[in-house]
Amino acid sequence: MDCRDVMERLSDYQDGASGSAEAVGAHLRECAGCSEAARSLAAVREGLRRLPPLTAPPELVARVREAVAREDGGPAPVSAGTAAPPGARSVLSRLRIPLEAAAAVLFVASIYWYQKGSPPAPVPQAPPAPAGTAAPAPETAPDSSPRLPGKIAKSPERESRIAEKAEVASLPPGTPEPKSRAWSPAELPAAPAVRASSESARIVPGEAGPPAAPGAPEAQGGAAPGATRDEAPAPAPRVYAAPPSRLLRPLPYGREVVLDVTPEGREGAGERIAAAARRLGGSVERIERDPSGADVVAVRVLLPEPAAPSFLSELERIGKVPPEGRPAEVDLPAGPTRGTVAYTVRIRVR
Amino acid sequence: MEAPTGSGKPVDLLVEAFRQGRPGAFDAIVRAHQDRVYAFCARMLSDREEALDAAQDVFLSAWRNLAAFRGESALSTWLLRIAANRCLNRIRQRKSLASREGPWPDAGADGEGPEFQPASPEESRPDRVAENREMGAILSGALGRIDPDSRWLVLLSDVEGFSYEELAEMAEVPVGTVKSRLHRARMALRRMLAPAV
Repeated sequence: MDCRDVMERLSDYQDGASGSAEAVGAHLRECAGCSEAARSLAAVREGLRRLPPLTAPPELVARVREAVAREDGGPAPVSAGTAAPPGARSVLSRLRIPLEAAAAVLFVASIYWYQKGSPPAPVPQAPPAPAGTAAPAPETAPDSSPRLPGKIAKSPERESRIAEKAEVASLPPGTPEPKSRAWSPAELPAAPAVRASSESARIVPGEAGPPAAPGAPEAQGGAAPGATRDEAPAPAPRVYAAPPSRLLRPLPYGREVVLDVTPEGREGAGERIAAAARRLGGSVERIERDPSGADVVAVRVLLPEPAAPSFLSELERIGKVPPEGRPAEVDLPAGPTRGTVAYTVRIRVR
Repeated sequence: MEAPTGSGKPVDLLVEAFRQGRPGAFDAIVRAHQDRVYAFCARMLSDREEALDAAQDVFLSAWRNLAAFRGESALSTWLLRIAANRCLNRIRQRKSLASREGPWPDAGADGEGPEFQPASPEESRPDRVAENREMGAILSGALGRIDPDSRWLVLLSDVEGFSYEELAEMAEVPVGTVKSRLHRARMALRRMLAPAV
């Protein structure tokens, strides 16, 4: 082994490699030049191991914080450790837009539900008029501008004006009407509510169409000829009840049904209609009588939607529903709330 | 900093804390490794200001990729490997710009040939060497003149104490290649430092 071979193996020899350690050692003992090279090489390696430590400048941590904050898209955190890991950051970034969209939807929905679910105006129960004194009159709209029912209830002039004209008939004494409901002036719309408004679930107008002149042909859904309408100060436009929500219930609720009865069967027809509604799980909202208070001219009932066909069948037992008295959409749910249907049954004597 | 697990594989507690999103975890990682990373960068680049930039890059890269760190090696090894790559990139950029440092002499195909820049006559003068009493300063100056591809091996082997096998894995070359590169670099340092050692 010559000096060149030894020089190439000096690192291995100093690392303790056993391959040619003995031969290299023997050469080093004999060769002063190679021995000096080995000594200086060991000194270099020892010097590298003993290099003085270098301390990072204090600004390194702050610079890393700033770089991480820039990478994270936000201001430099007080502590770099508060920066979220890249994985978490990407999740937050991905969720940011959907979260903002959801917040916007919730905001709009909250406004909608606030309007829809705002507390209704107090509904005073009108005292039943004494039998025989009630004088039904068609309702008139004092103005044509649509209003919210809540505002109607707050208008004293409006209340008093309606109270004078709208009367709620009661059953003759002795006739039980535990569930019948009288309509108060506060519940009546200020104008023909051809559109839905938010609080009109309880608003049920009773009248429709102009009063028919005696002997004149009746308009569809018009008043019964027996009903006296000469007292009506002005023709009342047909007033629909507005649904609770414009979006969910764009159609007015309540269907007009005409029931023809014979003169013999007129007596008690209204009570039978009311009883049929109650028997089917419904309720009677209003019973209108003629000026004398003797005869029922209209019955307003509210029924569960599934009971509507049965109720119409019951009407056929009491009298006869002419084709013109049965609107095409009579079976469609049109109640103040979802799943209900309201009928105003007008009794005609034929 | 490391805790054994049931599988015998050490787990860096700071890395786990960082993955769990604990506040201050990455700050603690930077503080724990900043001196070692900065010293490596400073000796690789022979420029403390540039070393500061490089160390910042190393930790920023670590922050980006720490979620994918599998823990097959120590976090310090991983960080120094990043640092080596960053420093070599910076040196290559220097070369491409023909800036401060001159071209590195390429080793021949047979592995022979100059692999270091010989000390300038001014620096090799005995009186000049005598002025550099500090062995560390002398060594650091000599380190800055050897081939960067060998420099980082010397730093990690003789300064940081990495094994030949670890270096071979990091450099993705056989262990024998690592040994031969290291030996040539050491011998070059010896020749440069002959007046002082």
